Amino acid sequence: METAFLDVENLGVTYRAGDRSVVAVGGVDIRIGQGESVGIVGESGSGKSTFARAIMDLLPASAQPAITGTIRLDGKDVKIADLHRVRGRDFAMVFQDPLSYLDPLMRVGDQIAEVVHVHDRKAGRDRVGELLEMVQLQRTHARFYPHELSGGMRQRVMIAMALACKARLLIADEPTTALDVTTQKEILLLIARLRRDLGMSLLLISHDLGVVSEMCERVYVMLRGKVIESGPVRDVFRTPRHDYTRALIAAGSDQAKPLPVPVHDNGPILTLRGVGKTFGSGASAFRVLDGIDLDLHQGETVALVGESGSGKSTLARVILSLIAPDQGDVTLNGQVLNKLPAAALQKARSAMYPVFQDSSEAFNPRRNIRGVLSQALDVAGVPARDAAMTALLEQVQLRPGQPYLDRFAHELSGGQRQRLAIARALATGAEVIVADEPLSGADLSIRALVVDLLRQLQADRSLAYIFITHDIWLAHSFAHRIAVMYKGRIVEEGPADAIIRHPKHDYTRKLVAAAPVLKL
Amino acid sequence: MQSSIPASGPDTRVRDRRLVRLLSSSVAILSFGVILVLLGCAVIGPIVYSGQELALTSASLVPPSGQSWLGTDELGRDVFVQMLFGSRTSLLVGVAAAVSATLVGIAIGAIAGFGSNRVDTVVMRVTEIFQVMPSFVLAAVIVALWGPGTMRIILIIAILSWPQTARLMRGEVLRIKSLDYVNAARCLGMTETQILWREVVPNALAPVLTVGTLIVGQAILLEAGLAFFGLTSPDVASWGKMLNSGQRFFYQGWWLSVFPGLAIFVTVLAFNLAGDKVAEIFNPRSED
Amino acid sequence: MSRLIVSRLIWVLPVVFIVLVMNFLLTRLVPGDPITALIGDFPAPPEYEARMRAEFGLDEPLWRQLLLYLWALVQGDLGYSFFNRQPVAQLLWERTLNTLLLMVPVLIISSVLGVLVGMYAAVQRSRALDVLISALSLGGKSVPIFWSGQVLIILFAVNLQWLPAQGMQSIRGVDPGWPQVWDFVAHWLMPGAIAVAFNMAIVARVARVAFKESILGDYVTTGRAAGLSQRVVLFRHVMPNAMIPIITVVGNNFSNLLTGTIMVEAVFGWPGLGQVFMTSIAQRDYPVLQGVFLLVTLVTILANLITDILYAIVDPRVRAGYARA
Repeated sequence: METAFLDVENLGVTYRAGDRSVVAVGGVDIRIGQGESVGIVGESGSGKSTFARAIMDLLPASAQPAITGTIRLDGKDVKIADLHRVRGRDFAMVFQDPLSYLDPLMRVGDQIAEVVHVHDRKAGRDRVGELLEMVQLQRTHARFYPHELSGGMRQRVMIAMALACKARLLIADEPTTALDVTTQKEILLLIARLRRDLGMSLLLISHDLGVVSEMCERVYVMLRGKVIESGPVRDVFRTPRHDYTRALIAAGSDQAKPLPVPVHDNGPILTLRGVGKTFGSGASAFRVLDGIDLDLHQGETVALVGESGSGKSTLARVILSLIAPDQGDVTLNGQVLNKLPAAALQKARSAMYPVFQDSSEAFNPRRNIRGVLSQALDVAGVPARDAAMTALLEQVQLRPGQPYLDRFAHELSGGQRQRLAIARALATGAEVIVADEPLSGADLSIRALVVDLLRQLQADRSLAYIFITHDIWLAHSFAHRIAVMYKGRIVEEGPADAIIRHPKHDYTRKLVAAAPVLKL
Repeated sequence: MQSSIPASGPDTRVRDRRLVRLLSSSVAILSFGVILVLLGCAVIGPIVYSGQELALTSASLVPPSGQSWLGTDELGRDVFVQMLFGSRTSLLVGVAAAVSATLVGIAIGAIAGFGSNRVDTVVMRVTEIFQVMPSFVLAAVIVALWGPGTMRIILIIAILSWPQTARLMRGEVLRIKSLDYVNAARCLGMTETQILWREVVPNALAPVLTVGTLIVGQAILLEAGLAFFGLTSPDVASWGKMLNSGQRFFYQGWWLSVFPGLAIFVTVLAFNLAGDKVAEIFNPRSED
Repeated sequence: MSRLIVSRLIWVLPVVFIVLVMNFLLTRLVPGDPITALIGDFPAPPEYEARMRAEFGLDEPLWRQLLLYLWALVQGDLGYSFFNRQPVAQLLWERTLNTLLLMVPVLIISSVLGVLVGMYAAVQRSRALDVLISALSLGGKSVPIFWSGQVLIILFAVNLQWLPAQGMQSIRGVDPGWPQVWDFVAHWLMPGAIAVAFNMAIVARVARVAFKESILGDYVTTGRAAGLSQRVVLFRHVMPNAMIPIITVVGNNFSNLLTGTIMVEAVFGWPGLGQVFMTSIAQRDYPVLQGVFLLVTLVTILANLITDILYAIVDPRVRAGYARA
């Protein structure tokens, strides 16, 4: 076997917390050939980022990490204690959130120049301009501060800094997770091109199987600090051997079948007609929503899909009557919500309930779960007995329900909390549930669990969902209809499968093309 | 195991755990103990030594001894007895000013944070003006012009202290009001007033009460400062006033200056430590 | 930048105006005859009293009185100190110079030392220094500053007789040149050390936290990942980012430093604003008291203004906020 560029054997990372020690990475073997691109996939806590930071010697000293194992570079042993000499020379790294990873007080050109200077003392100021052009920015961008650039441009600056190291291996830790899909596509294409032109190796760390399948030749699947499966991307994703890999692939691929559109006879439960909303006034006025028409029937799921800034979250708040529209009407069960007096609105809106994105902020920290649920049952006029609450909890798979009643939401895991949020919505007796990115940030396995739960509840109670997401493939697998939002308008709306397979609007086409998905 | 705890209220368990942590900290026990002892001195001391405050018990400027524990002053009055009377002034001023400043600050801060932008701007402007005025100098000028009096000093200190509570309360209310659980409550059909007082204010109180404890210390120091500069009425015993008269006897009676100052230090320290502890317990993540 | 300064000035002017009006109202709403508040509590000749009454329009409506008061202020007239037999403005000017002699070295020493100690504690993760800083800052919040002066006097001046107890220079006079400088330093040492300790505790505390947080900043990881040396990361990235909260605290603490200095001066008989404040209280010399209040407030406002500008110089995001507004 030829000598790999990087050969890591039995790498372990142990954190010491007081007397206890926590194994974050437990004996991982990874090989990367010269010019090869390798992916590591896994959920949060799988140790994939810890591994990358361990070989860069970037683990926080405060956690007292102990690194073990052997690392060979071009066949030569590198001592763990000498890893800091390798970073920035042989290895360079780009990170997830380019805003916090750039110094906010320094012009980006100066930050790049600093790195250039370390690696090539003779290089002139011109080198910075060259690097900026390599990442498809303009030379004039050197004079900008990080906050003056968009997310995609900041990530390009980070890549330029990595290139300034003249490294042979680029480690990218979730490099596009914070970006919109169309920007993500551009950044991924840029990385792929630079890698080809410069002959760099790539170690791409991602939770997104689609991204890895597009970018990498080989993949390692990590679970709880160990590599459970590895091999060429095609083989691993087509014929997974491990159950966990199989579950990941099931949740992340485009194989989901479109749902049958339910038959509705009673007319829509929720309608929006010509809804518009402007924030600010005068010169700084910004039209967030413009002429939105939407119908939602009983037992139906409509997904609102769009990138950040498309107005989809504002629309959710308008539907929930948390903000009033400037134009148009929101009608729920025949009542025009935005024209009701405050007291009547409080009654009318109870047929509808939200599930929010960040479940850690969705519950009053001073109320235990009994308090949370009894407040909600109150709205439905159901006496708040323990039996009723326990039944609700068990419906959302929090069972046995009784012990949960005295606990607090912040003591639960993210997935449990999101299910509690659903239980609360059920307790109010709501017929319409408005869910704003309820699964973003959640791992694939939790996503699958919650999606199944929502489907089950919909079948049992013929609930109607407004489901807001940036993930067009998730919308495809979960919703009956999809409405695509762009710059405050709904540009296209129709049955989910039709939208994905035969998009009509340019923007929808771009969105579908850019969204990475695991094609099998 | 979870269900074995009786639920007497929605947040009993949080409170129970905080109490346990509070009691398991020796610093907390010490500081609360000192505060209790001082309160005892302030209440009982003047009763036990009733009428002896100004009594000329022995010769003047006698150093500390078994007869008079902390010595006597230039008129032969017992320093210890005077300090007992002084503790009453200090604690009364400190606690009364802090309680009133905190109550006013909570109400105004909550309204500013939850109310319209216009109310908020006005309140913030007013507190900004208070921030640039040095409270000791302003208090001194007011007392000098308007005359001394314990009630008046409490009032002035409270007026100068409420803005810091109000600013903090406003910030907390603004932060909490943007959290989704408030929207969740709104969707349950709660009115805005109910949301403010039931969902927002209880969660905003912890840091505000902590600062309230710190204001007790500030107020005691401020009162001592005013008295030291000769701004309290001559017939009220005060630690600061004792320091003022001690100023003339550095060479003859160190005890006149050392003990009353030590009393101020220990009292304020106890309240500050108690405040820090309360803050730590309400916010386990705070490290500083 | 100029936009920033203009917008800060627009904020400052109403504040100054309100402070002036408050100062005015203090004398007019005083129980008893406002003339006492205007000339102090001394037996003044009746002709002088009558002249003041006319000059300040005490028999005219309140708003006329306010205008007269503001007009006098604009001309630099803060009133006349009967006790000191000189105009208040002149008296305060002389005393301010002495206060600055005490305070400027304190501000410099305490800021530099505070930042260095805080930085060292954070960078070296020194447990001992952490404890020391916490203890100092807790002590600084709890000790009456004038009492700590008294204790030092009893210790070093009365018992050990190392340092002079009172004043800014020896009464008997010393030879000019170095002896005079040493004489000044000896007098400065106790009040200066106390003020330095109190201010340094505050600066070191915030510096420690600021450096701790700045070291954890993601941009530090980026710098290290790109192979920058520890020194470059510390001085070019960690330090500037840590300076933002430090500047704010040092600036906002200015009025506390000034108040502390006033109290220390009163104890050590340093012939600055504090000493004149104390004697004026004893003499009920109200014009001087008001003058001190006004001076201290205006200096605090100025300090806040400078803080805001410095803040914007360090942080481009703040500049951007003003450019857009």
